[in-house]
Amino acid sequence: MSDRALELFEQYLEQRASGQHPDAAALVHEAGDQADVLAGMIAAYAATHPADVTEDQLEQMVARPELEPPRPWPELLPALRERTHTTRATLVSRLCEVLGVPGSELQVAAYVHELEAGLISPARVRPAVVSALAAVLGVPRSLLESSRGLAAEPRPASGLNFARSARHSDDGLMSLGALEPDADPRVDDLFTGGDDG
Amino acid sequence: MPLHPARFDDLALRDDLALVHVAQSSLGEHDAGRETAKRCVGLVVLRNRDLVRSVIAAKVPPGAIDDVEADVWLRFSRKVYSGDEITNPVGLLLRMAVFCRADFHANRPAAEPTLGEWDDASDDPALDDIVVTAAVADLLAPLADRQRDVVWQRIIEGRSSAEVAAMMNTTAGNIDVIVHRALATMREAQP
Repeated sequence: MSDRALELFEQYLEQRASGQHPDAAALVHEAGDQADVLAGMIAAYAATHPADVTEDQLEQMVARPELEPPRPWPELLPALRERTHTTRATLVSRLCEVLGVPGSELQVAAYVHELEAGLISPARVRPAVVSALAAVLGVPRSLLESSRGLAAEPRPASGLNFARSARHSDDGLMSLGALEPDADPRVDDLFTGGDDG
Repeated sequence: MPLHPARFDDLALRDDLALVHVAQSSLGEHDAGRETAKRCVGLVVLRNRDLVRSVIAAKVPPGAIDDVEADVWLRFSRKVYSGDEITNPVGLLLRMAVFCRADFHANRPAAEPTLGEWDDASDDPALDDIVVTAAVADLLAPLADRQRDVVWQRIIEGRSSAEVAAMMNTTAGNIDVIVHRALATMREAQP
């Protein structure tokens, strides 16, 4: 067995014994070509010696969106916006940027509204949109991906509902109303073209 | 059954399997019950975090570890919340870590829509044989979740088609078809 892997494993044990929380991943990377060996040792040890957890650590973990019970997109997207203090206008603007469709804010805003209102199925959006939403909202793509198939409660849809449901100021977005440019077919495809797979 | 949301001190006394059961029974009890469920899952994940991170780090570059780990949390929490029977939370986390890192290398979204095909009724994967497990994971990487589970149970665990079929609520004939197709996919994926 590699001396380096053993040395790092002992370091891991010492840190745990002294009440520290060593980063197992950092140690494994430090092992270089012995990473598999060290990973095996740490995994075997950790499986039989679960870590002590503090209440603070648990509170931080529970705040992670990955631990939320699954929710359909019409519930999930507004909740993620609220969590990150992202207005719908900001989300739309960032989506246009990430998707490479600058100037299509109104068209994208309409689709975001339809997604949040449950008027179109998340299954219809292209994977690029899922990735862009995940990037802007700061969550793993798989969080959105795994909820795409969940059915949402149908909600009434109208422009009034759109305005009323905005939780943060959407003034910037609403002021664009009179300036709608021609629809970009790329945007339609992104939001209704379906899953590539 | 604790009052909701359950206190940290009460939950910390329970083992992982008991926490999974509390999580599953708490979910339906409105917001406070959901909070209890999240705490239970969070506690299990944190207790076993070194296991998950070391397994991921063996094959994933430093910049991507947190993302792959988050995928493991997501898959694990969804499995718990699905209400499916879980008999071995640590073994399940280990398998999810191995599969999620394989998904990372296959450049495939980790979570497929249903996430309902995990099976944790098997014995612990050999924790002292993680290198072999890694090699197997690479071989299984081209497969979809259900195919991987079937191949794992049928070939790696050596269960009969009938046993696997019973565990996955399907027929032995269907298991044979899945294995046949999975092996063809694995052969095609070999360089």
